[in-house]
Amino acid sequence: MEIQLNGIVKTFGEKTAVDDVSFTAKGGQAFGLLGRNGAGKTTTMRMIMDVFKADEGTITIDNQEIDRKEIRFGYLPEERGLYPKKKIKDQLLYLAELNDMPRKKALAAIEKWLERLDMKQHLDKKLDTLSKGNQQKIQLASVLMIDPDIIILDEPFSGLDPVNASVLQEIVNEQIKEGKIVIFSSHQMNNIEEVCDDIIILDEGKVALSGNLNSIKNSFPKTHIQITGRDIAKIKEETEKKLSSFIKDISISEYELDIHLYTEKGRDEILDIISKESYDIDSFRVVKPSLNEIFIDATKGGE
Amino acid sequence: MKKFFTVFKFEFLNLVKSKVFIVLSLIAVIGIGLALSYPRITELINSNKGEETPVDADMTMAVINDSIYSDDDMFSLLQGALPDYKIDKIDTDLDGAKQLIKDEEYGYVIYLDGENDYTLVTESIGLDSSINYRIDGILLSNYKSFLLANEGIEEDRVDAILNATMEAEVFETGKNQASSFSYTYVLLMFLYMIIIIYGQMVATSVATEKSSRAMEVLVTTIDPVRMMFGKVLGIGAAALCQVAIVVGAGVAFFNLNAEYIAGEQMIGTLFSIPAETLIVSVILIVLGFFVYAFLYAAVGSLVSRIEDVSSGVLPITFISIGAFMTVMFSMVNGNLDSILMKICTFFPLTSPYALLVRMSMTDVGIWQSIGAIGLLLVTCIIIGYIAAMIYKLGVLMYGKPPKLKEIFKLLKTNKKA
Repeated sequence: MEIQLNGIVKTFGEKTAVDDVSFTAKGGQAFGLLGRNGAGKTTTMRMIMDVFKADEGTITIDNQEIDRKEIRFGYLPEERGLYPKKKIKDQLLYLAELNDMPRKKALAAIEKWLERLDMKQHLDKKLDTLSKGNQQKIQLASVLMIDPDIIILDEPFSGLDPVNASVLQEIVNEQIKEGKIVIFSSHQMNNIEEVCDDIIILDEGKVALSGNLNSIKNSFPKTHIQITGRDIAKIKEETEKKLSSFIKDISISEYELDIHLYTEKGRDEILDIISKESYDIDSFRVVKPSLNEIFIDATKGGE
Repeated sequence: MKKFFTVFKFEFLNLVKSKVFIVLSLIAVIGIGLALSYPRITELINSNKGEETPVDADMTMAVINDSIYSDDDMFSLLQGALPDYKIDKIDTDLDGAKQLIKDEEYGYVIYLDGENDYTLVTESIGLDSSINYRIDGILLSNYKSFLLANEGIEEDRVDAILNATMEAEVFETGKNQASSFSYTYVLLMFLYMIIIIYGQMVATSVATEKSSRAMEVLVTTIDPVRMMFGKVLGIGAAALCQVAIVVGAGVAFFNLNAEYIAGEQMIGTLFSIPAETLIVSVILIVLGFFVYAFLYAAVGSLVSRIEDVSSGVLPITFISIGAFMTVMFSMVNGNLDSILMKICTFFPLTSPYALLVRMSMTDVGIWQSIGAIGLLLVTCIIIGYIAAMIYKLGVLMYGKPPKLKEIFKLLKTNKKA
């Protein structure tokens, strides 16, 4: 199963919130929907869930129109929200019923997920009596209990302690293994980097970058060189002397030498120096950019 | 449709199970029970006390006679005409009389002087007391007899002249405003309370979902229009439920105490509302509630925080209070067919109030009623539709509540899309 967005446009009044966005998120994979605040992520998610209709473009699943009776969406909004003054059981049942779940099945699912999240003892409590982290877990249970086909998680890790974050990670991995489509949105790039295969970066409603995360990384120029070994100090001296026009930045620590170049050509020059002088090195590698760097580059560092 | 019922059920049960609802219902039932059992309770207490009831100071009276008439004549005249009062003859001046009232020796002191001059001294005349008119009447008729006797007319003729009566009969072609006043007043209060209490509850309920961000999840499972109608109807059903409890309690206690209340005409008329008045009232209360509830829902969807609800709903609440007051004043003045009331009958936000009172207490005419109700129904649908559009727009809009102009601008651009 996969969901396809094709040339989606959405305007509110005079502001174009989403401008010609296309991507495909596949089942059994996590998809990263990235962008700065106000880039159009939430609007895109809402259009996927049919909260708004797109002004232009289509959203399909396996090239078919989405049948809401068949396809269930589980949505964890960034601004978490359930009824603070209502019993957890009552509101989860209400949400399950709104998702067309029979009561008996819903009760079983609620119990299963609260057990899994270690929240079962809070079933009959009011939501606002729980800590913020625990409220998050209840919200997560509300997403998972309906056994969604497509899971949309907006900043799922924010507010979770490391233990709960790893529980979430584990659950998400299980859901991916079950072949579900998981769409992630986050500012925390390290989490996305670990989980997501494909990403899209939005900037002011437009696609700034999209595709497979590894291919994106490979497509970036190989200008960051990292060398380890006994002679790194000598290499630094030598390259600074001979290749100063290639070097953007150079830094050395006890174990490694980091060189940022203007162009890929400098890489061969450095290799030349090392082989000519027979310097003793342990490793020479081209460092791929981190998602964080890619993100900042794609969104122009916030300019 | 199924999801509409899910929301309807959720909102209805939420409210019916809430503390506010239970406490309000209990207070109403106890209040009605006490009010309708009051005659029975007082009778029970009185029968227990038997004959020993002490004389109430308010029911005592002293007469100081400085008039041209004899002491005995005046005493027997007053005691004969006011058998429910204990009357003493005393001899003091006006200041002494005032002191007696201050000391609570007597409820009233009558100081008689000359032919047709008297002073009544009392602490205060109660709002519902007619004692001053009664005394005035007694003394006046005594004075008239005196004058007529002086003219040489025989005593028999004097009595006949003074006690002459008219054979009178009143035939009303319309409705008796006096007898319909009490139940119309109650129906009007029901309408007013339902709109104010439950209408605001709609606004608060929407704003709670929005401010707690539960809305973000809800809109992904159900479209906002269905959600709004489910909510308004659910809360409306709870309101009807409460009215049913109150009315049920009223009927039950009325029947329970029927023989004790028989003499209380006011209460009697409350339970003798003509069927057609009742049916039209229910229609008006239901439509009136919906017109206002839709407006309240729209306002609730536009505010982002619970604190903003009360200021947001103020304009609507003012219209409702204004309509209620206007109609109340016209009702009390008996001025129900004025131009103002006719305009109010057709203006949808005032028509539930105005039409309810007018069709209950005067003859509005079937076509005017149907016209006004029809107009109300059409407006209700239009307001429901507009409210749903605003709701759809408002539920996901956070920040400062938009101005009216901005709302219409947004609605317009949204329409095009």
